[in-house]
Amino acid sequence: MKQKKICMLGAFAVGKTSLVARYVQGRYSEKYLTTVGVKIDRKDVTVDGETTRLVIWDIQGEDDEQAIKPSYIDSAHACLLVVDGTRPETLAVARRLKSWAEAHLGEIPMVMLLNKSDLTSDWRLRDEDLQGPNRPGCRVIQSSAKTGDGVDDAFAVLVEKLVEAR
Amino acid sequence: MTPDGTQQKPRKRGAKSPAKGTSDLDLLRQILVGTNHLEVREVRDRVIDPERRAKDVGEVLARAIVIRSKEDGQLAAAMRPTIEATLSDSVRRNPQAIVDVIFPIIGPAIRKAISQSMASMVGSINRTVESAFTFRGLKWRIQAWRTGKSYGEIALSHNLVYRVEQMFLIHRKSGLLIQQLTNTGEDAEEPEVVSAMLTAIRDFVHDSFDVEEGSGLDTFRVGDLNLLIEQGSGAILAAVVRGIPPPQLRPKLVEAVETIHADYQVPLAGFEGDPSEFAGVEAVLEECLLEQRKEKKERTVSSFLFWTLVFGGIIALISWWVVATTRAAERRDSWNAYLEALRDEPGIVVTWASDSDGALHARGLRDPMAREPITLLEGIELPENEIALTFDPYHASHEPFVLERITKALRPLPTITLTLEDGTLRVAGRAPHRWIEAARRTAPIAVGVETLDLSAVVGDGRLDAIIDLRKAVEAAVWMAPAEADFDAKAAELLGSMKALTSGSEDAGLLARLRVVYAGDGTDTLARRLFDYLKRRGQPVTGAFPASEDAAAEPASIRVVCELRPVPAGGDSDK
Ligand SMILES: Nc1nc2c(ncn2[C@@H]2O[C@H](COP(=O)(O)OP(=O)(O)OP(=O)(O)O)[C@@H](O)[C@H]2O)c(=O)[nH]1
Ligand SMILES: [Mg+2]
Repeated sequence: MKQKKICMLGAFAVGKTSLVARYVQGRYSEKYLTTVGVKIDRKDVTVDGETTRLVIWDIQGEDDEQAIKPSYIDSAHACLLVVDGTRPETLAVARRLKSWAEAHLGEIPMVMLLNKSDLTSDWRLRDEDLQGPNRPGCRVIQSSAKTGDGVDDAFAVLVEKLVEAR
Repeated sequence: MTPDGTQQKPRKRGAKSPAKGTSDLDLLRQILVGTNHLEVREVRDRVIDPERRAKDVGEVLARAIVIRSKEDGQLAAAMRPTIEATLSDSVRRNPQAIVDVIFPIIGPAIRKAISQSMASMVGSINRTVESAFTFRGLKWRIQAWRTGKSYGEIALSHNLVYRVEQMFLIHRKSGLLIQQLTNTGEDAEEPEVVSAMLTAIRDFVHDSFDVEEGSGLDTFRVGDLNLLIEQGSGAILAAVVRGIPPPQLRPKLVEAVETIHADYQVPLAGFEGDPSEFAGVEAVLEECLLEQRKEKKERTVSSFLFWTLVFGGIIALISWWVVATTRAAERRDSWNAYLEALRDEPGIVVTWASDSDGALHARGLRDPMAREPITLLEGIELPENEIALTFDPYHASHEPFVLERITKALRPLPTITLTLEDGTLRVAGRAPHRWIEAARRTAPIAVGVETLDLSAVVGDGRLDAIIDLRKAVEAAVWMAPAEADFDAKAAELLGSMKALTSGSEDAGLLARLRVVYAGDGTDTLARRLFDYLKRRGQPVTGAFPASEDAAAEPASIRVVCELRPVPAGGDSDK
């Protein structure tokens, strides 16, 4: 079976671990346990009759990309960039992480998630943060690890791109 | 030898040139640059002439291969597709050659594989049964239940000094699992996660403690599990060992990593998550699955029980085998009897027969006039559906077959008799002149006829006329004739028929005409023709059947003529 390495990148506490838990186990917890180093999960997806095993690297949240060990993202086939919609500064972190990852990996499929979309009253990202000159240069999807909104979609988009790239 | 050769030749030429009076230009060149330009020309010739270039390369080819193979595995990698393609092509075209080559080794290989798996099976049954029935076994069972581990694990921990339980081959950069192997009979849990985690931990340790490049975490321990890691440039090999790893394990891992890097250099470099490119790597990992058991101290009572079971099993197996082989022998006898019958049958030649693996199959040749091969099964105890027969048509040279074929081809009148004996076709009786001509032409080229004897045949012109009439009558196919034409056409046909009837009577033959109708019976014109002929006293027989496929075809009516000898003493039929 083919395997693909997917990395979760983003500032701390944006919900990377929660998103993976939602996608892989279908579970969600309010409790915040920060990730140290990296945590790995896997999930099989079938597209057009062919099953691919996703090996998901949930990397510890880091505001400074220099602090991340490059070996964690080595040879990754795709990346999910996670932003916390209630904290606009995490968008800037995601942008930096994106160009850092691209410098290491070249052009690979990436999707940006604006997470915690269930927290509408605290939502502080404005549309213009992502438009015009601020366009992030990849697909952007709103998501919530709590309700599950957009989570499967985001991974599906990545898998589709991976299958296409083959 | 090459440098010598290149220098010698031009010198020789240079020495000869004045005597032969070579061109002045050459001489001038020689004075100016010595013999150098000739050397240059020589070298140029070597490079330009493909024949010489090939010869030069040929001289160093073997050495070049040796040198390059020593350096790295690229040569093998480059040649592999070609060799594989050649091999598969060769197998397709001429499988026999390959069969001949591997035949001597295939038997021993199968024997070895069987005896090995038998040995390991007996061994594992032995151990499990042994401990399952003892007090010790009971104790372990309780221990397993208390600790929540599997019984096998507990039993092993008491039985083993060490055992390599799992091997992971991991792509170094991505941490993706290439291959994984367990020795415990159970599948490992989430090996992909383990392998990725292992690489992550390794990288973490490596980066955190700032050790020099190439070194890093190579052993770690969790309870009584030890993890040995061996790293190559493209892949990491990890061995999970229960108990204390033996000293010989590390060199084994080193060797395995080297082998893998040499054999799979290309797939390693371009690994994109598809482990299928690493076919055969399991065998390399398997080499590392070492284990050692503790010496057995006590012989348990239960081994008696075990051996009783084993012997019981063996006896059952033997009796089953005896019954099976007897049945197979009976079947083979029937098959041979059937083959014998086939071989005895004229017009059937068996060229190949096989009963391997119980599949009965025969191939050969069969004259279309010979009996159906399957009908020869009569009296032989073999179910028809278990036999596969493939017969290609051929022309048998048995005289009855030859005669039948010739008779079909020559279509002799009943006034003629044909006999065939020792290759001589004898024709006797009265025959149309034209027929005799045809026989003279056709018979000698028929297979099985060597000479044609026409001494006993008499030409009869009346018979020629009859044959013409027969042709005319038979050629008249009536495809729904138009109403207006009917009378004229019917009269014409009637005339030919009458002439045929009377003409054949004169010639001592009886013409029997039959009107054959094809159609659904609603075609009144055909009906009319039939009645018309009958009313005019034609000896016609015929019917209007609604034949099976009648409706599909347009209605037609035609006349078939059969010529018979006049019966010796009675009148003809109605
Ligand atoms: N309301 C809401 N809370 C979320 C959502 N996703 C994550 N959280 C919460 O945010 C907190 C951090 O989530 P994690 O998934 O641990 O964040 P992380 O990105 O893995 O954090 P680090 O591992 O420290 O980098 C937890 O308390 C989660 O319950 C979401 O979609 N909606
Ligand atoms: Mg986390």
